[in-house]
Amino acid sequence: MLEITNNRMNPFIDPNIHVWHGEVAADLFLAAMVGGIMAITAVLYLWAPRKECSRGFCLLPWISPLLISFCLLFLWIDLGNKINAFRFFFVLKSYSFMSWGSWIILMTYPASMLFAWSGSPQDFKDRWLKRLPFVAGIGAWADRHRNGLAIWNFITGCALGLYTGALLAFYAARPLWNSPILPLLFLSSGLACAAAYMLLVKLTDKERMVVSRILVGALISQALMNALWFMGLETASDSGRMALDLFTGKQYTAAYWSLVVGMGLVIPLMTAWFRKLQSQGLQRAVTFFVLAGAFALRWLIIYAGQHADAAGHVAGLGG
Amino acid sequence: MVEITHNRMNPFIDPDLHIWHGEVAAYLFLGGLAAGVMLLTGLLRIWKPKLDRSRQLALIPWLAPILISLGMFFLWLDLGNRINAFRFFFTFKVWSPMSWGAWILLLIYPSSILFSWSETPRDIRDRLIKRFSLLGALDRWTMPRRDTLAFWSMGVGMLLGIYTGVLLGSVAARPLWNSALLGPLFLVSGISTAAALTLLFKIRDEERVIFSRIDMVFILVELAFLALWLITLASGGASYQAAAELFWGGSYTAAFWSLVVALGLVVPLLAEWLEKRHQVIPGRAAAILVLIGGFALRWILVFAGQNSSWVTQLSSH
Repeated sequence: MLEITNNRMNPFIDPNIHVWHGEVAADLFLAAMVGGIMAITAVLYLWAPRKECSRGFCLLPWISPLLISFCLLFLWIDLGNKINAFRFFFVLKSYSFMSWGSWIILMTYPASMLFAWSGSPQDFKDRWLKRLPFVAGIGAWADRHRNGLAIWNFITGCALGLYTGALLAFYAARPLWNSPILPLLFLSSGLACAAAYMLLVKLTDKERMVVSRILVGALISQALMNALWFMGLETASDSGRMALDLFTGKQYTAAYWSLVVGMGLVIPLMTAWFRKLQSQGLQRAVTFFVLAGAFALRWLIIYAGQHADAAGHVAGLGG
Repeated sequence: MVEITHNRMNPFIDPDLHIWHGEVAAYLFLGGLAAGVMLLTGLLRIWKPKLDRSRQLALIPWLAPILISLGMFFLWLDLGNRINAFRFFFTFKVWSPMSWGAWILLLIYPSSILFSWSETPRDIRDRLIKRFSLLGALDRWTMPRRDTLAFWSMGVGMLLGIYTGVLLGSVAARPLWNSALLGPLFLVSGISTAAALTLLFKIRDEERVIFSRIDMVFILVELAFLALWLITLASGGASYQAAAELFWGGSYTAAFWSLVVALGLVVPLLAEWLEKRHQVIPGRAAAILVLIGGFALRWILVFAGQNSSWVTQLSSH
């Protein structure tokens, strides 16, 4: 007699009911970066409202609506039933973080576009007013309320950055994700990504110096949050400790420590420590490392998180 | 026949093996304050090096070693076997947050005293050097290293502030405490209370405005962290949800929402916002409320945490 026993323990199939792939990692990466750009540009404006900025810096906020559209595209690609996506915007479920997230993402459009308009150079505004004269009214309103718009941008940017982590953190069934520090980790990483991206734009030396300081601060904060996250998992229940094993000896260890910690944190911080961040070539390499490290962080957390469940069982690892 | 059944379920006795009382709350509060003082005064040195400090503000960094000594005294009072306290400093256990804490506490002294000396007004330093000539060498060493000492003070202060939360956060048996967010929460609360403490002194008006604004920012961050902490508890496992119940209808609800959230955070935030709006020089009332709230946060957390356990049934209280 030939007997086949199906244990239904295939990794990523059981006990997972729903699987998140790379599209979600891309969505979280882009959303956190947009959150960071919104928060940093708003704070720098509020810090010195009367300061002249370079053309590159003034036009920077326009990247936010563009990137958030890509982010929504990735999210949409990930959906099983794509036609129903619009339903997110016809309801607000106060106990659903995804519902909160969809409204926060929608809020970023008016906030970032109005703030971007109010800070754009006059010749840029004139050119667009010729093409789209109907925006004159709302444009004038944005010019008058730049301070309020900056505060709105800062709050929305922080909410967006925090939300990208909160989306994972409130899954009680996934011990690797179920940590209140994850929103802060993703926000810090988002701020670092935003600062790294800003360094790729043509800025003045003074602006470059300020942004590179923000980058270093965000990276230190990210390293601290990462340490606290690991400490939290280590000092939690068996499920938490087994989830942490994925990064401290099991299959995600090499990728995490080389890509996220080594490339995304240690090398950029060492470069800053030795005061080499002013060199143009090194700066570009560091910005690339920071962006790649931040993407790897989300990619690895998404996949590793789905390998660990609350029963303390690490799927497919014989744990 | 008279039968006596002893269930061993006395509150705070079973299932607790060890009890933390008010001394621990006082220590956590004073440790947070010392951390905040170190961070804020270090930050001020880096951020506004040319600011002409008032005499009182220049002497504020000396509060850190005083507050931490007072905190350590409370910790010592809480110990069961006081004579053995020195043993903390003869070992270093990598996996024990308390061992880390003991060494961080020891690091506080050189960092805060050296930085405080470098911030002390010239005439006081001269007077002391005249009396104790050895201090001349200290003066020559510290003065060119002001910025480095400020960074060092900020770094150690940050470690201390986070540690006060990690001490509770790493106790897995207490779901209310067992959160990685408790470290950052206690750090921001420490910074906010330190800003409030500074406002109690006779500092210049422009200095009062700076510290009041700092306090406002950190109160907002603290409110956000508190919300995040409560949401994660509520969305965690059954034990975490039961722990959150202590503040959502359970016996600590009134104290937490009135003393910590309303009196310690929302009312001072509103008061400081009104002072800013009407361009009034910040007074002391809001600062006192922040200090009361900071102490209440630690007191309530220490006691409520001991009422939460991994069984879903809460011990009676």
